[in-house]
Amino acid sequence: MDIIFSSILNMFQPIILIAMVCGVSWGIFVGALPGFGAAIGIALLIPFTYGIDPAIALPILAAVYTGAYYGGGITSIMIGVPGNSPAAATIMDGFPMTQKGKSQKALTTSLLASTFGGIFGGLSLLLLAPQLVQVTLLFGPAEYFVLAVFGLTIIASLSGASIIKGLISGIFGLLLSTIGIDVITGANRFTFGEIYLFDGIPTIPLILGIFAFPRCLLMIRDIFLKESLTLSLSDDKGSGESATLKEMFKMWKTLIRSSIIGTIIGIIPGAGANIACWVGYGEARRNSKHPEKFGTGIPEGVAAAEAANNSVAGGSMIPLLTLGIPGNAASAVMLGALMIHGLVPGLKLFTTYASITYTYMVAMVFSCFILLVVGWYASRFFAKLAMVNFIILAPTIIIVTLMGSFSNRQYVFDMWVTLLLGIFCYWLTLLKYPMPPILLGVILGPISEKGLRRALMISQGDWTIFFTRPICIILLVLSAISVYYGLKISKNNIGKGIQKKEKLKL
Amino acid sequence: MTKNSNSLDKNLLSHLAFCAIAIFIYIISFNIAPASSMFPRLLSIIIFSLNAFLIGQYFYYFFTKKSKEITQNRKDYWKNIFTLKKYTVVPILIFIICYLFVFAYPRIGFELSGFLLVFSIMILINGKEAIKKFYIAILIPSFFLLIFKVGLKLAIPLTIEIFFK
Repeated sequence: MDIIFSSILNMFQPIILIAMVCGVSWGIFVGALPGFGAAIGIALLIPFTYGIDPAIALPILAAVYTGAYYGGGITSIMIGVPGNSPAAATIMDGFPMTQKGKSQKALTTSLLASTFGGIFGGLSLLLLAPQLVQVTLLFGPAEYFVLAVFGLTIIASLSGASIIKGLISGIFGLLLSTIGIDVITGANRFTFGEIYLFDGIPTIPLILGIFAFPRCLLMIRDIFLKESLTLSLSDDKGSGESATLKEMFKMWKTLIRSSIIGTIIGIIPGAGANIACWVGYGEARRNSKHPEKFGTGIPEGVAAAEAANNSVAGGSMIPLLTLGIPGNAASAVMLGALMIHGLVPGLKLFTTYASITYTYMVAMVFSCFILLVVGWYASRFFAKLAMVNFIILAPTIIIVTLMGSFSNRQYVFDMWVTLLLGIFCYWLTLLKYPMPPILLGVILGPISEKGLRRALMISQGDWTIFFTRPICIILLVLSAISVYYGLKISKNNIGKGIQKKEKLKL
Repeated sequence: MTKNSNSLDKNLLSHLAFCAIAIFIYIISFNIAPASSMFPRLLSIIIFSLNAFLIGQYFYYFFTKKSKEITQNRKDYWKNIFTLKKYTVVPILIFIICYLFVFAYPRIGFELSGFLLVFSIMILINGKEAIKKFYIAILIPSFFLLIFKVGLKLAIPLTIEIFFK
């Protein structure tokens, strides 16, 4: 308990407060930019936070995470284009409200619901993570290997259109993780004599190469596909009424229901906010006395979607901090950021590094209050900022990406890594290979390899060790289920694609 | 079927590339100690198998009856792939500009290479507007120079130091 109180007190340090305001603002901005979102927002900020004390850097990253989930809703409401996929359900009622001239009410409803959902998710993280981490005490090398397999299958099955492509991405990531000196035998693997690769592929250039650089090229590609240099805001100047606390209290059932849904879906690895927003919205509609009003522009629809997608932020941190399994792309990047700061998920986070970990978890809650203040006064400003001309935005992001990859070790070699990985991942993205499994593969690579080799040493080369231990069996069954559902989703996606094409033809 | 056939064509190259990577890793892993090569070798076998499966799927579509219906679409696709479109060319040109930036950065310094990078990307996106707003190409690198050099104290090679000292 003392550690939580001291973490709360830490939050009131002026430097942390200022840093978190900047983090939330950056998060809202990247969240509001269509096609960007929390993952790229965090990836672009990692180089700037690398040299900073983790007690300050991690609250900034938590603030970006929180801000980005809310930011996506701004463009959903103002222009009918979701800033990111978790904000897709917000369009249903948010944009019709703007068309009716009630954008101010929609924005403030979204903000208050996001704050509620974020706090709910953050408190769940504070309460559940320390309990769940006890499970890791039961884990041996075999369990760690199977856990890595489970993490990869689940993110591969849910992060793209095809599970096989997801698995290929994940295994490609694992292969990348084998580059460098083998920590067990000291053998040099796939470095081709390049001393810069002895420690493996550097994490910051890798994250920027996988997420930021391809995203930028895709943004430029979209400019020429759509032949538009900017997005345009609606004519609603936002002079209408804001949402009041009284109105929000009337929606208490919806807010709590959506927050619980969001947190639970966040805890399930691989599910994430993309699903939570629709489930939250659907449940609110199903339980409403006036379901026919949903989709016509009612605040309850906005609140249901926003509370659900923001509570995912806290929920998805639970398996991440305890087991090292990220729920979505943003938490996979966050995992990379934590590891750059020397924090490896598991029991040590809650014992040796408890003060930093609790600071981070408290920051997840605290950043929601900052979001409330920043969002209340500046949502409309961020909406305008997101309409920035791509002619300025594209070169800015490219220069941040390249210089960001240089900033950690200060080797030009790292810029080459970003560039080469970036163009390869751009090509893969065009072919619909998901990127989060690559990052997860790189992160889980050393854990899974160590687990595999140690388990085989213990069993004297007998592979049945992975099929005879209870936790391994449970995790393998869960992996098989995730692969099965992944294949089902892939089939459905292909079916939908063909149907869409046929409709277009007609 | 159209979508399937085209996406299969597009993906074939990627499957072949992954197979080539897997074979390459498998072969060079023989130069590594057995304990250290076991894991990458295992991964290369899995990645090869998955891609071989997808290549097999491609040829299954190719040799089935359905292929007759999609032959024309496939021909159109391969014809289109060699027709240069702006949205495919510009990202590649931007990659080349970035490549040149990384090459020039330690040689001519950040200010000059940064200006050239930003300005050439702006020109590629919209030439007329880029010339009108050329000052942005000076402002963006200057802003980041301030952050990286003064704020983060990075050892950034400076044009002033390279040419005027």
